[in-house]
Amino acid sequence: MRGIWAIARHTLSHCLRMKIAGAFVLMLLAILAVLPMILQGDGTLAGRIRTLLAYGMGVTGLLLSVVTLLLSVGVITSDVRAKAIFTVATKPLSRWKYVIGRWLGVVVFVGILLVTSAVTIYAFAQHLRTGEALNPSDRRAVETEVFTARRQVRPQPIDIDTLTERKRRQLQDEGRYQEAMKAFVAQTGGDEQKARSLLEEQIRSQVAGTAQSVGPGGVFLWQFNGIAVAGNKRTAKGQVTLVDEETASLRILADDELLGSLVFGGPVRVNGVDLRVTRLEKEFFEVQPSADDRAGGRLASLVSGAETDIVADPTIQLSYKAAASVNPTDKLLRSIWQLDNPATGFRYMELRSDPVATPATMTVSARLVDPNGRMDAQYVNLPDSQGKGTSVTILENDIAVLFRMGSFEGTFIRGTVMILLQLAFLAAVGVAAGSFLSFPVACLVGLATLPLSMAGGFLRESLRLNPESGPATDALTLVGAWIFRVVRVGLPDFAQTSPVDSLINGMNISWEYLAQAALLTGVIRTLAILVIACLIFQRRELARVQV
Amino acid sequence: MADDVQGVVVARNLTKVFRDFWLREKVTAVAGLDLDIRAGEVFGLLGPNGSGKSTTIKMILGLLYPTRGRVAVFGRLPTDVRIKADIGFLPEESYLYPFLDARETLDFYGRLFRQPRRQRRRRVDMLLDMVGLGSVAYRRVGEYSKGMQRRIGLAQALINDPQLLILDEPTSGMDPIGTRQFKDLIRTLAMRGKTVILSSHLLADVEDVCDRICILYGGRQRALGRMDELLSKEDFTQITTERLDEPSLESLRRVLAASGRELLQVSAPRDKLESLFLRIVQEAQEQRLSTGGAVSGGVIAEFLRPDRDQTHNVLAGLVSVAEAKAPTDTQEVASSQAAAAQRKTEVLRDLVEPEKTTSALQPQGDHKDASPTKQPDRGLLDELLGGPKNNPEKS
Ligand SMILES: Nc1ncnc2c1ncn2[C@@H]1O[C@H](COP(=O)(O)OP(=O)(O)OP(=O)(O)O)[C@@H](O)[C@H]1O
Ligand SMILES: [Mg+2]
Repeated sequence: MRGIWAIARHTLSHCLRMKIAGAFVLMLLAILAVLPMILQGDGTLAGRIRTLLAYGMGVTGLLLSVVTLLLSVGVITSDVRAKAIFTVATKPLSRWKYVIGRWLGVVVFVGILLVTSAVTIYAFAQHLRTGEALNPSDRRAVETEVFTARRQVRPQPIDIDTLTERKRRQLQDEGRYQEAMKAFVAQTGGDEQKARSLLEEQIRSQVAGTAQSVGPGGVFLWQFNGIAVAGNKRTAKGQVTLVDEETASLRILADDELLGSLVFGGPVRVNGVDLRVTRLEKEFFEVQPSADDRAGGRLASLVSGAETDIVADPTIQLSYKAAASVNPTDKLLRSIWQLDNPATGFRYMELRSDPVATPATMTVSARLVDPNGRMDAQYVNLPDSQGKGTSVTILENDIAVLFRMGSFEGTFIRGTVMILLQLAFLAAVGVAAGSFLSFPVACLVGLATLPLSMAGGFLRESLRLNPESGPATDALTLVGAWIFRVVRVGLPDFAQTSPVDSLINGMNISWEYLAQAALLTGVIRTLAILVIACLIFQRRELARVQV
Repeated sequence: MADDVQGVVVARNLTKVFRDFWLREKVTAVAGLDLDIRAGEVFGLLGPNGSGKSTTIKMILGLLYPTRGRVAVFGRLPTDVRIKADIGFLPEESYLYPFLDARETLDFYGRLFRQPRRQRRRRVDMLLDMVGLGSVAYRRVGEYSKGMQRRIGLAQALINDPQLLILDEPTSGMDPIGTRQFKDLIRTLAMRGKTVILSSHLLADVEDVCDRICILYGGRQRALGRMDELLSKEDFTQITTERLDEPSLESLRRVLAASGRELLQVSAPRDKLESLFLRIVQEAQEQRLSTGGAVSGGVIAEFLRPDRDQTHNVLAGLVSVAEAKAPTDTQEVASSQAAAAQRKTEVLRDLVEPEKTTSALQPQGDHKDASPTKQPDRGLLDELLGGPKNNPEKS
């Protein structure tokens, strides 16, 4: 171990003295300096912070990937080329320890750069956070959609098979199925089997399409499972300071702690009545109770100066994106959301109008979730006053329930660890290539892995052999498929395990996910490649001249 | 290799063939070499450029693998990590890390031996002092001159106080004083029972320190044996004395003519290693033995030769600056160069001489130095010349 560490330290001081660190830090600072100018985005504070996180972490990851590859390729090849390896290899140090030491040194070095960079970006993001938000929802987005760590669950998938079956039966009953068959058979030139499969396919896609869109007045129904509610409800006393008759709103003074757990547009209970926060400031919040509640209900007694019981429940978020078949003139989609706790019958309803095809988020009380983590949701596509409207599409992948699962800082740290694991893998590739190739060739090999592992998912999609074309017969396809298989086994999919998306969307990266995605895909491959590198180097004739 | 454990380095039929990318044989760098290097001896590897010295050394160190034959170091394979703790190695050039300073360099190598910090620091300091770089230890070794790098390379090879020290052309680039100190060091180490293998082109150095030598040509062993055996001329007798004047010589002749007595000093006059070396290489070349290395060209390229008057005049002008007597023979520029070289040697000796008297490390066992043999010689000569009365200075 001491031998490995001696080599690692040596590598570290080499890297430090190569001034790569200085150049990198300068570049990072330059990038962060120009960022505020580029960082306009959609003009919102949340958008700017997201751009910073995405751009900063993305650039850091990419720059460091290249740095890692060049360094890791260079450390061994330069030793062999400059023959400094002669004096090292004749010391009582196993060659595998030398290889591991070199790798470790590079990883520690880029780790230092990565941490420097991450800390800078984090500090910058926190600095932006203190800035002016565009409006209350912008502030809410910053706090509950960026600087947080959430998990999401998708609704129960639509049972396409059953729906298709039902549809087919309906068509058969109406006699339209047979008609359509005739047309398809004619089209395919008498091939009945092919015609049938084409027809089935068409029914299926039609069913899937209609299941994810509703006409004016139509209703979506979703069922969510596995929602885990974190946190406890908070109770406190508040004082009514203002009763505004015109807007029918109450202004209530409360302590910092309670206010801190409230969300603009989110739920709050005042004297046991469920309300929504319509304004949130440093010292107070405002709600708009319904006329009923104020007239004869539990809030009737509330006058200026009265004391109230306030409860802030833990919250969950429902986020969705609705698209329209025809854009309404005001570009707004009006809807009624109804959320139900299937166990208690607790219900929440909200009238909403959302911009077309724009992600929207509702913050609601976690009391809507039953003890088994279930919640039902219903969306009514409201027609306009003439009873007309547009049909609305909400894809299965465009709706989710989100709930807090940890802190932004935790996710940020784990995300950084994930990038470090990627770099460690690249360092292993570089060291392995450098253990038997000359610098230029090893660089070529190393740099080739970068796009391959970055665009791995894309390759996977585009290279997926079409099952209908049957087994591949021509040699080129076979070779291609074989190479791809090697690449897929050897290279982890960085795009899939990139933490940037999670970071900018305030999604949690859990230790379990880190362990799964990173350890399994990254660490095992890294170790395998290091073992190969050690084996190659162990056998190598070091004094052989390489050109 | 249990049968080979008696020697520190044992090689049998050691052969190295370098092949090219297509595995065609390109050069046989070492061919069928047998070596038995015993503990405590200073072993010299000699040979012209490209004769396979460095290749042999690299095979002993496990940096190259033999094509045929085998080599054992301390009874183990050269690639075995366990033996490396007892080996010190100075490569043909000091391949150092240019970004480290001298102290860091030695510290790094010390770490590789897992030396505790205290010991490491002490040794580094002592080694830096020994190689005379203590005052420039903070400078990066990349900025060092060749000789300075050589010195730090030597220090690096000694950091573990090795049992086996392998030096490839250790004195190349070193100044005369450094060379001198280096030779003293080798002798000291040899006295402590360390084994030293060195290759060198500086035959004087080799002659001074080596117990046994091996001369290679084209990767083949041409001579192997103890230095005194290889260099002794058995047909002659040598008497060493102070300078004799004519009368003394006369009486010496008389005494010898009378020859009532046995020989006074029995010592084989020593061949110069240089002449032995040249003879062996010449023989090899006359036999047209194959070598992958350099053959002595010696013929000066025609465009460099002074075949025109103008060229001659320029050259002569150049030479006469350095030399009082410019050569008169047009064809003998080479000889004038030799003379210049000779003068240089004298200047060098002058440089070294004062150091000799002040050097604390004045060698006791210098084979070449006449001083230790002076005493017995004086006695013998006294007897020979009929007592101190016949001191040449008095008569
Ligand atoms: N790595 C190598 N690849 C190919 N040929 C080599 C290699 N190393 C040495 N040789 C060849 O082997 C032969 C012996 O080389 P070696 O370096 O052992 O000579 P040497 O005796 O040390 O010479 P010098 O006195 O110049 O240092 C030479 O012909 C050389 O060209
Ligand atoms: Mg050599």
